[in-house]
Amino acid sequence: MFPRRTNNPKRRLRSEPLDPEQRQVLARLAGEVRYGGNNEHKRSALNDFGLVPPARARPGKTLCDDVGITQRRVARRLLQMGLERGLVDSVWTEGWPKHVWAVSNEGIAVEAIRENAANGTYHGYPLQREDPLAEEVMRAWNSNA
Amino acid sequence: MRERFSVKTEWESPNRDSVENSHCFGRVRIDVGERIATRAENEFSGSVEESVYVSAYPLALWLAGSWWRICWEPSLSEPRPPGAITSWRTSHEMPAAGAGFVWPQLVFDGDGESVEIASFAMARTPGQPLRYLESFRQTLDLGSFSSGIDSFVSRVLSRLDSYQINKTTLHELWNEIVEERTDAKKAEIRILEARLGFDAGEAPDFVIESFLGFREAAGKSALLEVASTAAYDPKNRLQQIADCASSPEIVGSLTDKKLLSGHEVIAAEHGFPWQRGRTLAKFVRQTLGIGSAALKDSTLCDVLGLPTKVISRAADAMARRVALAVRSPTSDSIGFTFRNRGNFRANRRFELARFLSEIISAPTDDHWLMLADTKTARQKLQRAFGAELLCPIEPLRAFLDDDFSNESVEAAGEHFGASPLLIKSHLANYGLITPDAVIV
Repeated sequence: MFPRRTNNPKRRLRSEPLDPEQRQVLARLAGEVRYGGNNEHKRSALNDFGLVPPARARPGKTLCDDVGITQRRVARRLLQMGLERGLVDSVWTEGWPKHVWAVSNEGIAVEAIRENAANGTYHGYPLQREDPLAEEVMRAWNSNA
Repeated sequence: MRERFSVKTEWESPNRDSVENSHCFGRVRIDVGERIATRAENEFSGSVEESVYVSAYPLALWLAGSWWRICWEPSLSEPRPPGAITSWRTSHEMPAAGAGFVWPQLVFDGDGESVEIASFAMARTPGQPLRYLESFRQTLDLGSFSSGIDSFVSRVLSRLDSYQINKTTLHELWNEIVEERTDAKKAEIRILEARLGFDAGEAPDFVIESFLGFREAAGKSALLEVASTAAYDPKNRLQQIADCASSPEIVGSLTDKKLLSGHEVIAAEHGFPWQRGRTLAKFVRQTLGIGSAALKDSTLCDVLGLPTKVISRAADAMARRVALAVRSPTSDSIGFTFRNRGNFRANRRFELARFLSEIISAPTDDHWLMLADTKTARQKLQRAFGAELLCPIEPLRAFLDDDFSNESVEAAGEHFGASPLLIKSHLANYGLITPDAVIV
């Protein structure tokens, strides 16, 4: 009754179980996805993301290197695993979910946001520990292993 | 002076981020009354600062997206599945604004008349160079809180407009919210959705239609009280309550009509619900001529036109989940259904006291008068009334004589006919014991 014209801006993990066709789509996306990177989430220049400058940390932003993510291949692999396990946003445009979530080897929930829908490029960052979505990501990650 | 909620911004040049986020980047400071919620230790500068470098856009978007639920959906009062808890938290806790920023841990808990804002200091956390330092709780009236959000969102929209960025999600969303707030029908639906725990526009039509179907029988405000207990299983819960409404346990009435003047007494007082509840209880005690004495079972039952066996009889075998009084639209009779719980006498007296507050203070077109564990303004008023009516604070203090031990509280419970938990909660609400001493 009185549906909203505007899409709900809230980040939400899709909650329905994946059917075989959806799993195929996500597996395909995992193969095609790219990782861009954002130097405002990097404290140390000792990383291989190839950003210029390599680090430009902001105190108001969460930092990837503090949670062990200093290599592009690690960041991309987390992104791929998030797609493969179906930890994706309920909002999709141009064939890509708006957000993808994963949990790092250190047990930190991370979020990737789409930078470029045309070519499936994302950049990511740790979720703030107090973010209520972090618990839901951990639950979904563990149950979709 | 009304306490205020304000979000101040000092814009900086756009940074590397999405278009909206980058053009709304700058120093943001959040004040809640006299407290600075954004007071934080900055690991980079090694200093404590009162404002933080974030983008105002995701914060404005989150506040707009959560507006109805923040203002109208009270905190969860009974166990819920994880999905329902996450849904509440992502609508009421500021870190859900996300976007890769570190936000203060502010929790907004609205009861329809006011919003309690709780701030929690943070521990040092790897990956989070900001550590917010403030712990406090402040309650603001809804008008003051809402003005603060309106000003902030308007400022963010103006900032975007100054760069000719004027077709963002925030623009569209805020236009809709302004429309909803000024359209009585839409506002009613949005409030109902919020009470049911749904984001705006997302409650299934059959749920809303079921509730609206009882609007005339229950009363408009009463339906919102029912909704706040029905978030988990709305249709079945509504039916459960409707069934109780049509077959009450016992019928009574308000025998002393002078008590109805209490409605005007509290209408003249513009305090928070708990303040109005206490004022109403003092009015009732004065009107009944009880003074500072313990309220007898017979007096309490006589006022409601009920036999004292309602308090003294043994609990039924079946525990009910609904405590409901139903005013007849055509006569003075009121049908009562009680919810049975342990410590029978004390809890029954508290229920009767809460029903009395509803009968006096509820809108006249509300027929269903519900008692619940929820934290809406109305339930808060009932509980404050019940506590003050059964255990008026000055006589209670005199009885305890500064002895707040469990034994002393139990004795006070026997004397005033109230449970030790109620007595301790009452003392804590008056600041005479700390909240953590309430555990019985």
